[in-house]
Amino acid sequence: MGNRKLLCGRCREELKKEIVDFQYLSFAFHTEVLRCPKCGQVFIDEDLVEGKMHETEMVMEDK
Amino acid sequence: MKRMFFPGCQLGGSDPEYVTGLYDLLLSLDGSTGIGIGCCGAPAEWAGDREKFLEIRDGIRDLWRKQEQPEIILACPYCYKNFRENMQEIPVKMYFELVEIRLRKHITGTAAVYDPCAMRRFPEIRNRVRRLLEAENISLEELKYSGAKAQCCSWGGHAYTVNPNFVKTQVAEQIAMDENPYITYCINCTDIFRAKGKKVCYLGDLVLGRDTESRNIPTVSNRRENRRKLRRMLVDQYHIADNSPAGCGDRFFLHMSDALKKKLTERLILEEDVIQVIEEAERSGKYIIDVENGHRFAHRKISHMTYWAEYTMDESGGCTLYNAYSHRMMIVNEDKKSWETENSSAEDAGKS
Ligand SMILES: [Zn+2]
Repeated sequence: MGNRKLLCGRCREELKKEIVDFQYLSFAFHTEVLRCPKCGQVFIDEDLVEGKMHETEMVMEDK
Repeated sequence: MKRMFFPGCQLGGSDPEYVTGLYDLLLSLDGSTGIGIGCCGAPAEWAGDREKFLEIRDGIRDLWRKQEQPEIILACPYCYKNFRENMQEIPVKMYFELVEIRLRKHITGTAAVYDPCAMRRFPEIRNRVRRLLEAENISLEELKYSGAKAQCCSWGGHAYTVNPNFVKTQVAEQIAMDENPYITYCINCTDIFRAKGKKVCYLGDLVLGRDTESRNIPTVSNRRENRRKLRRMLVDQYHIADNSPAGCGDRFFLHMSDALKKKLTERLILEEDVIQVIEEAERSGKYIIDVENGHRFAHRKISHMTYWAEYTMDESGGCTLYNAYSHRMMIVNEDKKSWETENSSAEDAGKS
């Protein structure tokens, strides 16, 4: 997953790492993901979804 | 637009290339010719659903008026009957009535023209077909039931749903009227007779220079897939605006492995949702490309879920799905413009 080259389909720019904010219910967190430097389109891979994001979602729902 | 091609619902269902082939031909005669795909309403009328029928008819009338009342060029005899009887203000022609139309494929031997039932009241169309064939080196036979006494091939009236036994005997009687091949000019007669092993030569193939016998006979699911494929071909090859309403069901086909199907079921990800993600991505161009394998990644928030699809578009107008996943967390300010504005205003606030 680490070194693959991803391009934004709209801008043809290579995605770069950037901190992005996420929100769920009243909870917010930010993490580094790949993002188009021009238009801001974000890429989230399944590892992040299955890991940190789902963990956070579960915690929030248990509250 | 002086002319608009309205191929009806079954021609493209049988083979999208009939529609694009005939449309190319019409465009070569008049480059401003438009195209509208859809149903003429006949199946609703057969089903006794008058309301639906009137709704479809009014939709066609509206489209015709909006397009500045072009002459409508038809390919299906039943559309022709329907337009002539129920939309009399709209000028229509069968495509092969245009004087420029010639046969590009030639046949020899003995054959019989099979008039479709919809043509009983339209001798001028029946005669036009025979005139086109006159120049050919064939001897034409007239069937016992043709012209004003033309029979139904068994397609009409939804007989196959209501009475499959009737369909069986009806087809058998029709193809037994003459041992020689039939020349047909309705795609439904064509496909129905061919499915029962009758040698048939479809006028559309003669006009396009194709061989009817070399075509696959479409199954019911093929027809649906073919219509989706046609829609994509029209959008991609002719850059025709896709005005079909969202969720009209005429969507592309998703191919995926059984393992992925199972995963989607387990994660409660509907194929419908995945299709929405991909449709939106393809419409807007908002997707990410993996340079190594050409896979596209797209996401879309539907209700409170964000769905991701990893896919490629196929030549056939379908789409191959490699992975899909979803999350409830929302991405904040993905659109860079608003994101930048917010960041800079935060910076400004910090400075002051
Ligand atoms: Zn971009």
